[in-house]
Amino acid sequence: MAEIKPIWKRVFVNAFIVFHIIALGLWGLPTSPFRQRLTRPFHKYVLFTGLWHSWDMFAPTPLMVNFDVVAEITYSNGGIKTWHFPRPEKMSHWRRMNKERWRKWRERVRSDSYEIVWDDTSRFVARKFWFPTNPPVAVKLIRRWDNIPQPLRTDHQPIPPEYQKKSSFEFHEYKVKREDAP
Amino acid sequence: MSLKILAQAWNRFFFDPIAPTSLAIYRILTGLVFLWNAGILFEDVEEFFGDGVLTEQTALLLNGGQGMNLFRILPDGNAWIFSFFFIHVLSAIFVTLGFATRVNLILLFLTFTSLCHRNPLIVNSGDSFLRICVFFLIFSPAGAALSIDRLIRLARGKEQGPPALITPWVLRLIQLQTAWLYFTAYLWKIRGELWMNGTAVYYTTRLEEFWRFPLPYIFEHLWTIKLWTWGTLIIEFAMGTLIWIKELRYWVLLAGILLHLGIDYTMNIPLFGVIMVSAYITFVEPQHIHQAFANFRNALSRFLKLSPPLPVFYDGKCSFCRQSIAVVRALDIFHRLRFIDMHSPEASLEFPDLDLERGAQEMMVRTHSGQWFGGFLAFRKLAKYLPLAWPILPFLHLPLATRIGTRAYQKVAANRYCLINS
Repeated sequence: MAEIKPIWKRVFVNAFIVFHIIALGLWGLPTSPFRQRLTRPFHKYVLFTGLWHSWDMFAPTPLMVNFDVVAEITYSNGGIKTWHFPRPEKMSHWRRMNKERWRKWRERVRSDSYEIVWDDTSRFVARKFWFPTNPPVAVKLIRRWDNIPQPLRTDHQPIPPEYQKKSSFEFHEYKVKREDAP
Repeated sequence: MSLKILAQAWNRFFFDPIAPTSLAIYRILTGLVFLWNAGILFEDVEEFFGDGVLTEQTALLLNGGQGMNLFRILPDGNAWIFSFFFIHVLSAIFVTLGFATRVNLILLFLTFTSLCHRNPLIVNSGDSFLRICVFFLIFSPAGAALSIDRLIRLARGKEQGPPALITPWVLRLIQLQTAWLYFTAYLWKIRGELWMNGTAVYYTTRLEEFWRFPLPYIFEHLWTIKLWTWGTLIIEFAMGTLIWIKELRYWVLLAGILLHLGIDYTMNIPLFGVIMVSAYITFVEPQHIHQAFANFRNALSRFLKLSPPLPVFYDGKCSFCRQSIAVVRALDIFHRLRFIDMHSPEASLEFPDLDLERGAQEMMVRTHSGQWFGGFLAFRKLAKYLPLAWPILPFLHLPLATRIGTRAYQKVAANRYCLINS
């Protein structure tokens, strides 16, 4: 065994290892009141250092809807423009790969648990399509979705070329302010 | 089992020295992943990290105001944001090359964590894993091998021979984190009814936003969907548990690679697979990497019918020359050169036409046709045999390069005893 010298360094390294195994190990556990309680002492450290994580990819239940987010921009002259948030499924393979972060952004923005960002999102859309002579006055954010049908009882499960998003819900409306101008 | 035995096992696992190869390769792969990621982000830097999709105040609220974020001390303006991003890219390049490795790992960690905290809306699981691993790498001798840092140490005579062994505790932490990721991903999944009844993959493959290349039949039949769903669970479980069994490790890693290849082919989740598979290198024993590379080198040599190594003659009595040759030797990963101390008996025996007087003035190479080159021209000749030196090769052939190079070489050679205590 290679000795780490001096002794204070050895103690520090071992303490560092133990601390991080416990802190990150507990942090990675699936959410539960038990986990919540155990991770509390590590909250400040883990959140500050950015060592937070969660490995709940497609779990415990994968998303069962296809959705689309649309912004409806109303201009001062009464005109309306509709903008689709980036849709990877409509992009070329190359662009789809390069714009993956926009997919993640859309995935978060449409969720009710991210209500806090909806004003920012609307402001971003307003600025993106801002005309000084005809500025936007309002931005509506709309979710469109369609549930993925349950598997058929047969073995064959066809995949349609596209899912129609028949349901729709306006989840946010933002009144554009003068200081929002780009 | 006694506490003493446990302590011994702990010490063996974390501190028994190993060659730094796996760690060095992981450092290189991590640097490349960061560069790839930066390439993806570059086009949208302003929108993601400037006054675009998310204001700084809202980002702060999303983090609960606790995340370390250097953007907070950055003055306003896009020029600052681009400069910040440039530092991030530069540190990724230097981490890849292993230049001022620890400092650049710290910079990489600070800049990347700040980017993540500045815009948590675009952060994914791959980013989380990268942050953790780069944080650990800061505490490791990641520049011990395959790095510019090592070449500098060789050139300064601070190191000789193959890279020194390292204590692998950081590598072990990365291994533990990797295995834990898969195991907890497994724990998350088995809580879901769809994963247990085998139809989870039916839904994931019908999410339009992830569609990439179609895989006919596999996702259109219930039995193959169930196989894929449960296969994912089995592989994730194995990656978290069976990977610790030596005899099974490489098979488990192979299964992990196949899982990620399958996901990457069918789903548009760029980088995640690459990030995870890069971490697998930490599980590969350094001696197996050395052996695999030696086999590859021999196979390549046979396949390309390469000529025998080019003899390079140096003045073994001069420390500066020995250290310079140590650098060239480290770059000669394909063993295309044969280094001969011109004062050694074998040199005169094997090469009776060796000019010792000239050899005392400059490094020499002898081509297979019997031609002798010295000084700068010798350096240019041997650079052709070093794939790692190929990026500079065209510059050595520029007009005036011979004149400038020869003069520079002569100046260095004339002062070599002053450059270092020979």
